[in-house]
Amino acid sequence: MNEIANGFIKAFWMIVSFDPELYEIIIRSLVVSLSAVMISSLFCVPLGIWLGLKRFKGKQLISRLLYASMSTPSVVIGLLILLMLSRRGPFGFLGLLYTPSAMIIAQTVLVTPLVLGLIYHTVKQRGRQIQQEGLLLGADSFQVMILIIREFKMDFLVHLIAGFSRAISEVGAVMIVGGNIKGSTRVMTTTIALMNSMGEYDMSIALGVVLLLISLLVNIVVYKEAEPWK
Amino acid sequence: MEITVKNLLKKYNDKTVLKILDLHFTKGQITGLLGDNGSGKSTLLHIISGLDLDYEGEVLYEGACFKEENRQLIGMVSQKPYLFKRSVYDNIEYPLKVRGVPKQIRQEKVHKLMKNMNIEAISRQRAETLSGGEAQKVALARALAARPALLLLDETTSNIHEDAVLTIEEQLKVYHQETNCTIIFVTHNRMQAERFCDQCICLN
Ligand SMILES: Nc1ncnc2c1ncn2[C@@H]1O[C@H](COP(=O)(O)OP(=O)(O)OP(=O)(O)O)[C@@H](O)[C@H]1O
Ligand SMILES: [Mg+2]
Repeated sequence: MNEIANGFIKAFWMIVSFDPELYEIIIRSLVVSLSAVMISSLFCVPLGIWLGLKRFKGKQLISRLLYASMSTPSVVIGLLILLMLSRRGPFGFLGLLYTPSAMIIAQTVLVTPLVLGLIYHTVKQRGRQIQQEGLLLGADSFQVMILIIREFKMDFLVHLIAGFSRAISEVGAVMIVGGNIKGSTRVMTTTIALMNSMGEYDMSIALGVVLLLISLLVNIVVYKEAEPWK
Repeated sequence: MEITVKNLLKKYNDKTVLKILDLHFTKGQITGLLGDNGSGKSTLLHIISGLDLDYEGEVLYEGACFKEENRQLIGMVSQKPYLFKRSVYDNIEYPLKVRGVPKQIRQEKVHKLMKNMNIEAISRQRAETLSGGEAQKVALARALAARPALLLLDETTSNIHEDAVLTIEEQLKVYHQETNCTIIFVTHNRMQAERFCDQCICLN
């Protein structure tokens, strides 16, 4: 009991005294996960809109596959990217394994089906009406795309945040392709996992608290923003 | 714009919802379209507007098939119009914006339209917060902004107060005289059809 209380006190101290190692890890986590979500959104948004509006044969099948892949286990993605980037893999020559770039790639692949699936679902449900209204008013296909992004901006933001939450809280993918190397590829979740196995709880608790705060904050901001529109 | 419909057959999953042998909308005429609920009035307007190209038969615009360029000439207010999540002003401005009309001219046109429809007071209000009748007026103003040569109106005055309906009919008449456009006007109100339209068609 005493040990836990001590852990919390030390953790609190690390946070308020801006412990360099702690903050380095926090910032790396944020950079990796935010980059992944932003890269993913660059093609998920146009592709999701296109898929949602388009009528084609086999759309049902694509939907099923997409929805099913939204919850692919992160370790599976990690393993896949590891095989791609490992020295004997097809992209081994890039020398990216065990670098933050590899972690960004893995998380991008991880969140893409989730973000794509959510955007696709929203557009499939309510996008056609907006598309039709845009066409009636003389918009071309690019202008229709912009119109849909503007109409759904809050929904899309919530989808991206869902992707970010998934990325920032996963351990498997970043652990496998990053290797949890001190000072280079350690992020919040992998550090917590490691420190716990070593019995050092202060850092874990501090990171755990920060991780919780980040998810809470993000969700509060989003729902506060999203509410008045509904 | 002159519209000819020939041997039109529209089905939804093998259920025939619309069958028209021969129908003609003369250029510059206001045609009232009446008929029971579910008789296919909205379906016909959708097809003529070019939004629904999945049908059998022919719909000819000035004697030719539907072309993408026709979209710039057709305006429609659907039965449940979708207003964009922006202000009333920005909604009405949209068709002018996508056509690259300069800002100064856009402003003048939007203000004139809002004045005609008597919706200046709600110019800055967000479209999601409008009442049913207000939304219909905004949708109509927006459809008129690009000055279409073919105007399709699907029960556009159904939620509007009777005095305001008369004003809107007057405005439409003015617009019609200015542009000599073709109007297809769906309504359930026989009296309105008789006073506003040059001819009436009943679907069954
Ligand atoms: N997407 C669809 N799938 C299946 N049936 C449809 C679809 N859209 C319309 N219908 C059917 O087509 C018929 C014609 O509908 P439409 O909306 O054209 O009627 P309407 O004449 O405009 O009726 P109202 O006066 O009530 O507006 C209706 O029976 C309707 O149920
Ligand atoms: Mg109808």
